[in-house]
Amino acid sequence: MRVVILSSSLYSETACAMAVRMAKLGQIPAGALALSTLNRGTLVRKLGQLGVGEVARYARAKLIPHSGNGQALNPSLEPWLKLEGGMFRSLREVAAFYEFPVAVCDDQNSSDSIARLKEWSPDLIIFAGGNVLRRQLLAVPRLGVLNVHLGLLPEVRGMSSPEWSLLNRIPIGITIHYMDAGIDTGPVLQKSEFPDVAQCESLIDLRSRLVAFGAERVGSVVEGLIRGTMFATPQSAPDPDPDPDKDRQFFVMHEWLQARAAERLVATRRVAVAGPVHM
Amino acid sequence: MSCIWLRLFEMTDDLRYLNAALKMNEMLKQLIVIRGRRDIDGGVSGSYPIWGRYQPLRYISWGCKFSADALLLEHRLTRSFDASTPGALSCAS
Repeated sequence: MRVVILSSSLYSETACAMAVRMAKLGQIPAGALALSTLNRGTLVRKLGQLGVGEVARYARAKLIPHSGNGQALNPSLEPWLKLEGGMFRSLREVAAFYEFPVAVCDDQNSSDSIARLKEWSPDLIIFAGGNVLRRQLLAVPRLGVLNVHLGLLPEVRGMSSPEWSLLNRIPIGITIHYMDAGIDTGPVLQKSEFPDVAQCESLIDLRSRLVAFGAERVGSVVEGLIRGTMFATPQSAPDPDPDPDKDRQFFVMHEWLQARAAERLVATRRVAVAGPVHM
Repeated sequence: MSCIWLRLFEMTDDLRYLNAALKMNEMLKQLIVIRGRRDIDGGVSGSYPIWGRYQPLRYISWGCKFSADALLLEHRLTRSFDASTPGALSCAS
């Protein structure tokens, strides 16, 4: 199967882990298309998400060799990123090791990007970050574009999914689905509840572990697709009167609510450590 | 808008309304003049930027009124949200 990786940056650890995961399955990617790291939009987005200090630490760890103590920013991805005598720090390094092409673009939906993707004639594209994908790009791969959503669909669509799951007392997990023109509305291949929520120390830790859990699960989904044992099921039949509690889109969570979600995570951890209370 | 979203949160318990209102109030607080000339301190302009189409180049009294309403409602609802989830709060201390 010809697999292509889409990435938000050359330095995305998630994209590197996905590429390594595919290579270890024997499916060395046919190519990887990353957004330019010095793209103004990417920088602004990262500054907004992480803050100046974290972006500076990220840039130092990625751009200056051996400055990051050989540690990944997401420690849960280290099993995929570790290399004898070092660590993969960029998609270029993964590509050089497994010998596949990497291209950089400013917009994954541009005609140049789509032409490049068509050259690689992928059966499957794995989305590990980047632009909102347009129909023209979604139509390129034979099977579709896979996305790992950090929430259970269709209950939690959109952004900040682990946090919204915590606040709304929805089980935490991941959904691997084909992307379509909607926001997390495509047919579902696999839904998995995350078993280690109680071991997570913070929301960042939870997200990091979920990303690694997703990278692991993507491998099993691709294996299933190759064997022909994995099938996608639509999230729901078109419903003229959808249940608003079952099909909700969420947006980036405000810090005040994030703090409450973090408290709920800590409470979950405490219950797990202390065990059930017997009165 | 913020007051409407907060009232909708109060009626439905849907946290997405609270989320939207918190973000809007955050922006609103950044737009209230606090270090300007004394006669516009605390003022809220009709539009942002101030030369926008609604009440251009004006600080409007009802802007302050609705801002204060939204901030007071946010204060009341966030306090009652915290009070209604004591288990989560006790774990934060």
